[in-house]
Amino acid sequence: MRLLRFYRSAIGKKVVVALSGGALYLFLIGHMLGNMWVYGGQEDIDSYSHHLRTFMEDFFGYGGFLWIARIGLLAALLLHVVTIVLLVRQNRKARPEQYRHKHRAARTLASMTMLISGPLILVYVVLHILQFTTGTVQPTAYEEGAVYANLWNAFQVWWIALIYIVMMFFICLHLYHGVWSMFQSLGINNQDRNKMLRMISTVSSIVIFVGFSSVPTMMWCDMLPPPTPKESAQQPVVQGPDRLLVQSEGGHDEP
Amino acid sequence: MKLTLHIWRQANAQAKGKLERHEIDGISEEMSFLEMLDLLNEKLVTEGKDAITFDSDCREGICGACSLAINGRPHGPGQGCTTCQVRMRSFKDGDEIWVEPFRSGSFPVVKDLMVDRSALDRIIQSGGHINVHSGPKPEPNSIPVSHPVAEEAMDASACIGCGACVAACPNSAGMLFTSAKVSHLGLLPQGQPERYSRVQSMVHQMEDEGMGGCTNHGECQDACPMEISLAFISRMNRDYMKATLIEPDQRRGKLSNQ
Repeated sequence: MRLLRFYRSAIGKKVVVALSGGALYLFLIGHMLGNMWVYGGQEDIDSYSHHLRTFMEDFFGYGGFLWIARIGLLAALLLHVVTIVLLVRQNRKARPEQYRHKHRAARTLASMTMLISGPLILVYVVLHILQFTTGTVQPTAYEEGAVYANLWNAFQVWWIALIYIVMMFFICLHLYHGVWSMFQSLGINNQDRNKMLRMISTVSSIVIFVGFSSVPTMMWCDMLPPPTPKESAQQPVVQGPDRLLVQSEGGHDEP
Repeated sequence: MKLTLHIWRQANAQAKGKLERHEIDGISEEMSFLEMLDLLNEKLVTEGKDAITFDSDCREGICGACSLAINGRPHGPGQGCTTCQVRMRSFKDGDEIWVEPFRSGSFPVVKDLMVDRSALDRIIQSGGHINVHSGPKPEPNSIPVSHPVAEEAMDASACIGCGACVAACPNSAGMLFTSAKVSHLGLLPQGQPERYSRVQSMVHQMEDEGMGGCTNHGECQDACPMEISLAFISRMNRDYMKATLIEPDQRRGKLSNQ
């Protein structure tokens, strides 16, 4: 099989890493832009989250689109991680004896720490999903669908906000090297484009860092208003046809 | 100039090597690094000790025979020069210098600082040439090559095959070397007929030699005495993708209806 032959070579593996990383990169941009609804207020972000579930509902059903995206992202993540493990094993084997006197000429902090930032991000993504998507881990009050309130409650705790911001820094670091590498591995880079591609990599990683970490910073500094309780009149209409939002505090059930 | 040297001594590929400390005096700034080692060897031989083995040939930066990682950097300090072109004025009196062989699983140590770089020759043998006999020299205007393309091919062909890229790469990847060899032929008309089979066989040979993959650090480009660009790696990736995924293996088959 040609695809297998392609995957067997390091260049083929790099292409797979680049494409799967690219998918995750696009998701991060989307996620960050979605987070910006926080600045529209509680109603905006909560209804944005609801809209993600009702998007193309007639075709995919409630939450169907979201699940397709999740499965795609999970596949990309698996491909990314598994392929990198294979590449790292090949790379480690290639130099059994290390230099006694270490020298660094072109490596950057970002490029040298890809194998540190990567696993850290992976662990954080799991925790992040457990905290904000499934609500399995609830260090602070959690209610499904009440995105603004969940974020607000979590980011009132200084260490949750701090861990979030530190992890965004690692993501920024990972992207700073990863995005440019993606273009290089895919053979898109050349002498003319290099400067622009480096710029895209630098700027987008900084924008993603600032975009994501602005939310916990603003919430912790009380620069955003606290959430209004669900019982108030401003409560957004978040009732899907297949499901009613669980309105009670605390306890909730997966539909 | 007085120097302290930590030099790698290893009897053969199987033996365990170690750093050996040497003090050397009376070094002048004009000496090349290899002349300094010659001086040390003369001293060692006079004392009845085993001379340090290292590779060198033309000593003017053309042949690619000299190797050595000086203070962990292949070909030592200075941009765009080989070990033999390094002058002792790059160092200060009293400096400590670490001299190690090019380190890579694909470059087994022959003795001390000399490594076997025939892995690179095998990569060339696998496809870094033009098989078709091109006959007598054609009339120059019959195969037009634009000047910028000719210059780009020339930049790639400047590779002297010293192996510094493999030695500098943290993954010991042969990407810069292989991409330079793939590109200088792939850019020119004479190299077109075998362009896609060449990139496949050379990349596969490179991996059979146990070399790693590229992690885009750019250490190879920095260490390259011929200052070959990372752009050739991107170009090789492009050619390899086209060769393995797009170009057909079977060119003459009919397309059946189901």
